[in-house]
Amino acid sequence: MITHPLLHRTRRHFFQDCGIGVGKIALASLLANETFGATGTPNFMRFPVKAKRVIYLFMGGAPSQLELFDNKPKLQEIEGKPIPPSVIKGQRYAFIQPDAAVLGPRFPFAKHGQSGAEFSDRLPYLSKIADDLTIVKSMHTDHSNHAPAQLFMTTGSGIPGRASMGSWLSYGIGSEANDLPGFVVMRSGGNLSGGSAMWGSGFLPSEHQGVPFREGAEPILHVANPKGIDRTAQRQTLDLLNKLNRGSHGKMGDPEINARIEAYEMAYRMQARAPELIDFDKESQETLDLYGVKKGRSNFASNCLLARRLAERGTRFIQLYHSGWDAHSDVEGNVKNQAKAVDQASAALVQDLKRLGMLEDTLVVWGGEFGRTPMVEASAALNRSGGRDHHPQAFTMWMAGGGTKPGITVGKTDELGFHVTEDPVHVHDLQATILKLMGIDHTQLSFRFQGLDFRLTGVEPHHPVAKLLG
Amino acid sequence: MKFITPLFFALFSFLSPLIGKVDFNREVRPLLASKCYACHGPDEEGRKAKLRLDIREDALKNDVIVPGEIEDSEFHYRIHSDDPDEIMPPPQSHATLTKQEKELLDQWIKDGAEYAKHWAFVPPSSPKVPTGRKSWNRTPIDAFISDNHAKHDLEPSPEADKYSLIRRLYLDLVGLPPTPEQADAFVFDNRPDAYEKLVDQLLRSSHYGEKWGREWLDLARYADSNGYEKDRPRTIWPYRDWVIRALNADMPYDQFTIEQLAGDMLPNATDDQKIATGFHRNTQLNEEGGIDPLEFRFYAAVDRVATTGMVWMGLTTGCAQCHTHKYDPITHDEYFGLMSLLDNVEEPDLFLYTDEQIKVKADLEKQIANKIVDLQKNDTIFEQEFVKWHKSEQAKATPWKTLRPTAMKSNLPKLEVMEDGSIYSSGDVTKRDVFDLNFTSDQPITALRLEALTDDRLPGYGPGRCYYEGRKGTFFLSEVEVKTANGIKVPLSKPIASGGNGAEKVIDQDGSSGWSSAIGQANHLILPLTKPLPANQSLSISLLFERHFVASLGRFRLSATSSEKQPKAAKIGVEAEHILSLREQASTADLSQLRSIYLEKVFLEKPSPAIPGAIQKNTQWIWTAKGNRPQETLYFSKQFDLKNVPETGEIFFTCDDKVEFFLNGNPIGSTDLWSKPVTTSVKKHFHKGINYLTAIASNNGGPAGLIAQLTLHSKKGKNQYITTDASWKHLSQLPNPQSKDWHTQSLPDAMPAIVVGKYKDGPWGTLNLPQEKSAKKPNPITQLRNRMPRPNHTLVMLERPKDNPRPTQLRHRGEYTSPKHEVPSGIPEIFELQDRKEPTNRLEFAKWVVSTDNPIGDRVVVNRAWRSFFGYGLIRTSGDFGTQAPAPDHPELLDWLAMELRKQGMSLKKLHRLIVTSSTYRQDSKASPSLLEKDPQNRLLARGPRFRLSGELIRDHMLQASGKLSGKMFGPGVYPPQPLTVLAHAFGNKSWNASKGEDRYRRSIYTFIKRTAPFAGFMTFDGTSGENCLAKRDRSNTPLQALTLLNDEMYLELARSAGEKVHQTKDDPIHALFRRFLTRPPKQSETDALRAYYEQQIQRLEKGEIKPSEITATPKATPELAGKILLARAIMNLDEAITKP
Repeated sequence: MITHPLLHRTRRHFFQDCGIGVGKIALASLLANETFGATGTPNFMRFPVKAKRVIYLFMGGAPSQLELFDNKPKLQEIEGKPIPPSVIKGQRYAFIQPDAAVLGPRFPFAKHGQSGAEFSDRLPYLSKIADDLTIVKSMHTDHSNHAPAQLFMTTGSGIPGRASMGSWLSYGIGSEANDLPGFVVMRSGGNLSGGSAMWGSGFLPSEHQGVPFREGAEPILHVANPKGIDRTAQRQTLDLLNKLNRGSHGKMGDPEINARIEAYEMAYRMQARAPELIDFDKESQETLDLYGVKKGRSNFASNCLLARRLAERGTRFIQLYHSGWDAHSDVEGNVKNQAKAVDQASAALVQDLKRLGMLEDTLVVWGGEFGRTPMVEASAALNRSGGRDHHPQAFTMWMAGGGTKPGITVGKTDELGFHVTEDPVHVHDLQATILKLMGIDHTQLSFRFQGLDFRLTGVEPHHPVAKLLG
Repeated sequence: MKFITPLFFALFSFLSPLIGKVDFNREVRPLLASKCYACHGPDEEGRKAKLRLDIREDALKNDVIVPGEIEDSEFHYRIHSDDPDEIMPPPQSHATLTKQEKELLDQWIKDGAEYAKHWAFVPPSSPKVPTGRKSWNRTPIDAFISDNHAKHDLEPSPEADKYSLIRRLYLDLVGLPPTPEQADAFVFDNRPDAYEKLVDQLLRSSHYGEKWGREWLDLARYADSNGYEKDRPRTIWPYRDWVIRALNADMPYDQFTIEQLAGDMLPNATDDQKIATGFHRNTQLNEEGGIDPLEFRFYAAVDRVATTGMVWMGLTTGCAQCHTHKYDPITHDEYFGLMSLLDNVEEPDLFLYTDEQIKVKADLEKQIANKIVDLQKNDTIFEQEFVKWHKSEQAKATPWKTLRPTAMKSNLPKLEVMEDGSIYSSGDVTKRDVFDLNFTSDQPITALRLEALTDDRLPGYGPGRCYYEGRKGTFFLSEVEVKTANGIKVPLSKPIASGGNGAEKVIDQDGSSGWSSAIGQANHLILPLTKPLPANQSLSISLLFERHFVASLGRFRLSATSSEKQPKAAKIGVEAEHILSLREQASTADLSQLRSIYLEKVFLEKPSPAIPGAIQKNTQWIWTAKGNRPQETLYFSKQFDLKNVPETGEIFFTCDDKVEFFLNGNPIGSTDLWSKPVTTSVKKHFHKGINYLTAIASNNGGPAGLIAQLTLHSKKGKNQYITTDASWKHLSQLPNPQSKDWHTQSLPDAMPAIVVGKYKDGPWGTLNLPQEKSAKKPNPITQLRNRMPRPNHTLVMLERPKDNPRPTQLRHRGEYTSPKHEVPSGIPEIFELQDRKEPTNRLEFAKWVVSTDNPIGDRVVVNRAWRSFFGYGLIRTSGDFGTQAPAPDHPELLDWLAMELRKQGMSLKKLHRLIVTSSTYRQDSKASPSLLEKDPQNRLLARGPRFRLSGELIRDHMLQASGKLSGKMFGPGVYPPQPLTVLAHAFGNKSWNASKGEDRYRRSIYTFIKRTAPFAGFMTFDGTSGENCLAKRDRSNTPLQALTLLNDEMYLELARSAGEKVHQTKDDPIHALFRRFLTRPPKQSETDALRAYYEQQIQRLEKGEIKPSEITATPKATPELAGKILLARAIMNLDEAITKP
């Protein structure tokens, strides 16, 4: 994390010039790889910086777009009948046969805001901020199983072991946080399929991996002193270590020793910072109510508030995973429950950032790993009924702030919600868009591993979605 | 040595002036590769203007390059052009050439534009050992290194002090620090060969294999779990142990390689050689529901090609998965040719009995046989009972005749008929397998029988082939269809089975339902024909296995009967039924076998008397509807008539999620969790006539169900049961919420309850029933059988049979869903085979990779060893020797070492000995400012190596220094302590039951590796989760590492141990602890600083500002002991404590 002070200063200089903020975390690897062009700025920083940080609300399990955003009255009309064979030709599904019967939307939809964006009645809070959102109804992905699809969304590959989006950003542009991790992961809801590979650093140096926050008083692993050791004892220990390590440096001349001294000091600052970070006492009741945070209860709402607090303190990439959307049975009940768990806090986060003036340079992303079928899933053996299977062909996500164009909807699907018919946005396009908003050309931010120049967005041509950009 | 020109010795392009001839390999190729080959390289698809610059003949066409004449060369104009439409590389490629690079390319053309084969593909030949610095040289290594020092005006550093030397040697060879006593013994050993003696001693240590084994496991991407979503545990630790043993035995590297890549194919392969093939079974396995298993099998194959390339060919083949390699000379086809060599495999479990287990097993088998004889002889009523049973069963038994298929067809699996007429399935399987079997029966058929059989070759012994997601060995028969030869469907009536569930659903036309029975045991399904089929008619039987995972049968047999009696599914087994059906024809041997079966399965298993309160057949889970339900509260009611008031009664009930029960309006109990059933006695509140049992039940979402059974005991000892079933009524809203009347009246608006499952059905399973002790005596045979040893098992490779090879298809853009033409196996053309035959299978390929025909293989090995000792390889990119890799720092040394490795019989221990006995290795690692400036990364090795230990070695070091290290080797993974929150983000099982006893303190190589939640203490220090082959670990330096060493309970525990150890002696704690962790004695300034700290802490402890008992975590806490622990903790956090000196 820490490198030679000379490199350090130079880097600060680069990033002030780039407008992304001071990257405290090192980029030694970048310098070593000669990624920096002749001008002294990293050659991947090719665009104006719109977003300085990202809060990514990942809806694990894949929410049903057909019950939330993508209104398809036609499905109601033909409910119970199979999808025409021409539409389903060649499609692969996880559980159902492609000729399963159609299931109509379970909830009524209405238009909201000046933009007239459509939401089902399960999203009363998001409906109210319709004009702040940039909705993409034409997402599609390459994977139809949870783990690969979640990994694809977060790392650009369906196979575990690649660098995640947050680690790319940490590697590429560092963090503004001095005493907190630059890439933080939080979790609520059910089990998460993709696992730790979703915030792993893959082939990138491992200091760029996401730091999973833990529930309770010790959000960062080992950030609290062990029982019996107070802050004075810790300080005295550090003073001793510094003294002896400096002596060791005097003898051996190894610059790594200085780096270690600095790492210990940063750890000490982190120890002081972490309790303050998770203490909501200074938040007003109004703010707590906005998010729906109940003190002492850790859930998606409290994670959203914590995300805002991390954003204020300079963390570059904050990823909130909320799982539980995998409605193979009873999609109606599922959407009811999950929407209730996330709708208010998701909207509150956008509103809160806006009123703090942070929405401008904070990008909020909301969505799952794929969509759900227009067809019903029912199985005697699995005791399932009224569900929807995985549907990689079309799904909906939304973004807010960070240089996106508010109050628009991009993309359309056919009348069955089966295929994208207008402005398809591939997962790699979305990733390219997020990088562009941060000033980065996704084709240039690469890392050589096993002889390949790896990129978040793979080797096939993909592009930032111009329509999304403000 | 054509490729080593004098200039090649100049190691850094930035140091080498442009004099003399330009070197193609070192200077030109890397430039062309990175700037031009993307469009003008080997990849046909990406090629622009039909121009190819990687082959000289092509580059010379059309005067693109005219050797010696830059003015005539189009190339020259294009790279110098100002016109954005003309300049090469084009501006949008961002591959702009610098002025110096352009000049270099011009010079190369002027020199004649000579090409050379890439050095890595030219076999190494013994380079001449230079003279170097004679007074310093101990080994030829030193001659190469010091020769180079002279060229760069450097001098080697003096030899490190002896404390540093022994610490360095210990950490490098066995991965543990020396004890102070071991260090002193060496330091005061003045024999001239003391150092060499120490080296030899360490090379003999069993810790050697543990240290180097861990490094090999990085390459093998070893882990103890499957990866992906579910990430369930797997058993492959026998492979890990094999690696440790092989390294300790110094197995020659070629043999080490061949056994791992193809041990199963060696003649008379031993179990060990088969275990070794676990190397490529370390790929991840996706167990998520609904996946296409062949797709993820393909990803594993891709991983195997990449890993093989990295580990043995020093080549990154990854790019060629999707297209012809843009830089390296591997085509898209050649990539799949490599895959074909590796991919003709089955992937079974190998069951391993230890010698001891084999003995125990034989012993038990004998005991069982004896017991069976004894019990028959000694039990006076046995024979009498048997005769009675035999007579009655004989009359009922159905004679079955095995049907042998005349033809078989399947969607993919290979079906073969075994000697006993059963059918065995092998090869690839899918989640929708269909078997079509044709038969002709010479007798009429009234019913068919399908036996699901076990087999040692199947996962979990079968009968099914499920190997992921479901239980290993499970099967699921969705549909059976029988047709006559002319395609007319033969109607079946209600199927019955000897065990399992869903027999009747195999003819319900619904693929999502069907029959499945227990794994590891045989069962059978009887399919009665509605109308008999006449004799000699051909018929076809179609079996459909459809599930969201692989679930076809692995071994099964079909039989038919002409019996007019309705056959039964004989629970006693088909064997016994067969003997019974022989009637008078049964031989003495048959009858003796039948006696044994009867004894074990019937006589000793007399049904136990009915247990009062035992669950009744018609006690079922009820609700308003099946499946997932939203949050809701329901009001259930059941009325029943009592002729007499019962003597006693008890009720058993539970609900998903919670329920409160009432009898005639009186509360009788409640529960808030389905897995917490309540059993309670009910004596009061009954009355003659109509009674009401009511319940308020609610569900929070997900599956819902209510189950209850009220058992009433009459005075005469008769039981009456009130059970949940469809006769119950429910309301979702009370007519009058204020009133309690609903408890005691019939509810006209109520709906009947829906049965949502039988007792024992998923998702609830068996609940804790109110049970009385069974009167049944334990079955002595079963008891013996239960003592049978369970074999270990491990994942291995098995070459597929000749008649069922797996074809490898080229996948367009590397995508599984885009198969194209079939690709023959072979190795890339760039490797010269010298008239030798192309390898045709895995074994031949394995032999080739370690032959001298592979020019890169030996270089990769020595480079890897070099990196391990010196921190950097002689080639910087450890996995990659391809065209884009930088030229080696010391090319001749690399080649010399590669040749030496061969000369020394591919012995890794000899290679390691050679390196550590060199003067180069023994240098002091002090970095003076001038050395730091001249050679910051120590590429020239004018000083010794100094770098941080890996996460595993840090823990091992602290275990050893604190006196806690367990010497126990091998066996299943263990669980050192770590906070449970590490697993909070994992899928499913989030437990981490920290090992107790010595397993808590085992060497880190034995730590259980869960891929999605790898051990935090290692990951923080750049450890690996075993997801990728890792040729090179990072060595980061982060605040999270500081937090771990300072605050992790695991390390605090070791500090306590060290503090206590020192406290038990009269030694000066400062000196003693310092030496334990840092080996050398402290300097005065260090002693002073440590003493000041120690006294400062003692003072605070005495004042009670910090509490001794909290620090020692023991009642016998004194400030002194606590102070020593704090001292140990501080020393463990020193940079030097986690660094190789």
